[in-house]
Amino acid sequence: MAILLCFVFMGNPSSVKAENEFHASNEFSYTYNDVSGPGSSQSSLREGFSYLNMLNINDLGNYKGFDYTFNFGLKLTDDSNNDLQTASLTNLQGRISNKVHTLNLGDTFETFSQYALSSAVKGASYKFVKENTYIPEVSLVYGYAYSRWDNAFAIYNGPVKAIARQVMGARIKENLGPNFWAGLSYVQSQDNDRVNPTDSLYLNRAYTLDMEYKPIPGLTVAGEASLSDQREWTGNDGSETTRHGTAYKLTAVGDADPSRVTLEYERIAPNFTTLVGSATSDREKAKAKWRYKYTKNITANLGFLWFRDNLDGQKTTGRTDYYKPELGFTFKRLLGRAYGTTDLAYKLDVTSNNHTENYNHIVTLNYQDQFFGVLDSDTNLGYTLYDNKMTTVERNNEFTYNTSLSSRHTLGIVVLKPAVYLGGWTQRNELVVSTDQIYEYSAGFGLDIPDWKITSNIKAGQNRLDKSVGQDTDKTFASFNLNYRPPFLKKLNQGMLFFRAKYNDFSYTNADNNFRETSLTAGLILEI
Amino acid sequence: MILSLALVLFSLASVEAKWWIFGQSEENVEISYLFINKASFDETGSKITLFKEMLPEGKVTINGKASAGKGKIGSVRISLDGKETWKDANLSESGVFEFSFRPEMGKTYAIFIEVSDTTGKTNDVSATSRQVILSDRNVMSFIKEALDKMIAAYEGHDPKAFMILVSEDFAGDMTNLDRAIRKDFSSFDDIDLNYTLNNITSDSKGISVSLNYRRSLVSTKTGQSLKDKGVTEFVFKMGDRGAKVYSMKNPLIFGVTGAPNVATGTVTSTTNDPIIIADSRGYAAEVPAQTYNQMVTDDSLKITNNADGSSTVKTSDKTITVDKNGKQTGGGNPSETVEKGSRTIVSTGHPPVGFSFVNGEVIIAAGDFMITGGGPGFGYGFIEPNVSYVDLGNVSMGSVNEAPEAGYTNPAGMGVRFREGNTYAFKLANGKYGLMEVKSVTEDWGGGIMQITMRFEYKYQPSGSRKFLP
Repeated sequence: MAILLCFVFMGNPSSVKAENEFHASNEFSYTYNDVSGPGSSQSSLREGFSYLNMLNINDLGNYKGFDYTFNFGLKLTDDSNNDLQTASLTNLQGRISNKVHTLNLGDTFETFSQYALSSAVKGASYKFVKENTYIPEVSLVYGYAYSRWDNAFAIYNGPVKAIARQVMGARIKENLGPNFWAGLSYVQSQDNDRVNPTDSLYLNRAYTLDMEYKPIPGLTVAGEASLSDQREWTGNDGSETTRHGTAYKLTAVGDADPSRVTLEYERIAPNFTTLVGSATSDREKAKAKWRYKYTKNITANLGFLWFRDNLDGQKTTGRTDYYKPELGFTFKRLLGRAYGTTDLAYKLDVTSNNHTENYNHIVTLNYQDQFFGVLDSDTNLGYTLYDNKMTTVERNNEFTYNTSLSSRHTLGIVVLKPAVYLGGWTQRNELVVSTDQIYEYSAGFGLDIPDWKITSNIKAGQNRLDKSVGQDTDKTFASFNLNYRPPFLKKLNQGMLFFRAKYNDFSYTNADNNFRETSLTAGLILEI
Repeated sequence: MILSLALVLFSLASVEAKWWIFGQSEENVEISYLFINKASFDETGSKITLFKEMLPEGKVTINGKASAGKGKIGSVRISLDGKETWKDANLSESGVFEFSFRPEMGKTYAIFIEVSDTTGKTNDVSATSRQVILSDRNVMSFIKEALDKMIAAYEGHDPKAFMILVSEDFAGDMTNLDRAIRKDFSSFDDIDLNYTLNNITSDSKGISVSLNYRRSLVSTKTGQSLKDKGVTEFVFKMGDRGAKVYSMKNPLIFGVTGAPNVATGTVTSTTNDPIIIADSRGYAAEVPAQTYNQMVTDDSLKITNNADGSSTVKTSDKTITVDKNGKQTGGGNPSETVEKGSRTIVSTGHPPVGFSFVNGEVIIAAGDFMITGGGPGFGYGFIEPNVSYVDLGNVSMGSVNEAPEAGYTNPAGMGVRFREGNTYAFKLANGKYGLMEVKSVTEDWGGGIMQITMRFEYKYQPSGSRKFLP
């Protein structure tokens, strides 16, 4: 309603002498799914006919020095796998701004900082920015952190119940020099209305300081520190718990040819909580990355990540340390091959605590090239050793290998694009002497007629999982895609007709699980 | 530590030299900072995509500050067409400059910036090269393209193609996501992912996306099919190759086996339909959404897939069993949540060997109690400082329906004898209770080294209740 009032106040943008652009797009598709076989309950498809319609409207322009934008989106479907709601709003947003003031209503995404606020809300925001001055930048946000509009109100079938997480936030940011700024944020989120009786409700307050400094060209130093204050009311017994925690992070990025270097340190206390920001509590982390272009054709990547938990010694099982070093090289034009690119990498994952020590060694090799001027190839080889040092539960050797060959040929007005794929995966458990394997092969054929605005692709293949213990699975699949931009839709910004067909046949060791699924979809995309 | 790091970095600033590039003079003509529509050139990459709705007054503005050591900046020129033509920027005495133009949508501008001092010396113009693409597409089409590419790479088990679509400053850390998707690829086959968008909202720093997903896959551990559907959220940032994912929330659709480290936040499900959950080893099960929310962020998550298709899903404070359709068949009340088993400790004195009720595992040099010695009929050891115990005497564990409310002790610094046939109740550091019955203790001096083998049965009550119903 507020958005509508806003536009009533401004008048109809299209009726006044103002620069105005109106865009609308609509994608409609109609699908028929058929699922058969004794294991058909395992299919994720819903049987029968269904439709899906996505409408988006965008209006923007300038009126008396104010830029304005209005976005509206609507989704219609009768397939509960697409959406629980038959009709739902996907977007509702209005924004007006001039050089200094910006007011946003409806869908609002006003990022403060990582710990403070990095979630979208349904509500409003106001921003004051006076460029080329030292007057502080001010942002205010109010709304509900709902994932969808149906959580707030529904246009059909009643709302989809969700915890009402009310968000209020304010931020002030000051440029303290041409190369240095700092921001101070306060964000409060308060939950109401449990969806389930067991849901916990939270009141969370976060006080956050963030800054960025560019001491020399190419070097950026950024930091953030946050203090959180949380109260939790559990759903089971209504008991109340209070938590206070801190989080801070310091990052330095040096970026200029031939190197990019990143250094990062972060510490997030076990009791630090953010419900509308982004953070994983109980982590201390240090990271270093170095990307170095040794020559135009050789790039080296070196990385090291360490993190651990149990920062307050609160876990009876003790702390767990994770070490993730990696080293990789990219070689272009190797052995004089004009299109040859080779990636070679070694990665190590170590997880260490009182009762286990896991070493995962990962080696990967990727080679891309073009042969005879027409045949593109992409080959991957990988080896991973999963090694548990202290409990003899798992010691697995894993091999992956796949290659794809594709080509493109023009014959008159027709473009032919044949492709084949061969892949495999083998896992050997050394302790129980067992081997599991996956084989996959497929062939595809693309046919485009650019003059007729037609693109198409057909693909078929098989994927087989052979297990020493457990069920074997065999999937035979085929798909067909066709896109056509007919001349009669040219006026509608190149509208498009499309058709998609998919067939999967799953066979298991236990035939009671076998099923087949066929899906046919036809659709139309219109754009104005 | 932070202070030290900060001091090092700030001292670097005073050096006024790029420590990763050598041989540059202080007298060079340089650009101190450079922005395009408030985005730093350092962070944009070589290609910058701008959308109509992101342009203030429909304009692109380039501003920055130039310096020439002891000299003075004479002019700043900007080329929008790959150095074919040049236009003067507004320049102040201090070297601050600004240039605005109203771009044509759908066009790509090859931008270069040339700064000259009063002696004619210029900056490294090639270093300022940026391609600015004025997209007439809407944000939604970019997001759909990125999601479609991510799904194609994920379904095709292609980590390289997938990670290209991840922002370098991914909130859950790029390295964690890279490892998690590789583990996903090792653990899942025949992945089929579909989505419809619920909501897209953007600001100058990113794009928030909410979507409904539907997925099915086959576990390579068991060969079983799993499927689920739900609502999840992403944040994307626009990079030089389109939209790149910056953060993801649970339920994750990518990196499922690394959820505690990859996801930052959880979208609470509005139904109790099953959601796929996976542990760090790659074992997976379908669990009811309410239970999923409580378990997915726990590092200690451990899933055991049983031969009949059911699964046992365990975290540090909760254990449930689910059938193959994700319906909870056990767990949720005190009698059902009790974990039990039998274990054997073999100790040669040093290091001590202990037992953790929470994990149900025998541990070297840690645990709620540890065994360092003993003799025939008894094991000798210590109780962990935050744990206390009661000796219930020569009774079978099966006859104990409730752990005592009081009477727990920890003889700090003193040893404890665990006698064969006796049952002991433990009050653990997490406030929960465990029982342990010593079944046998044997002593072996083979090779001249004493070895104590203590076999025992245990029960652990993760609900916090003292009840251990049969």
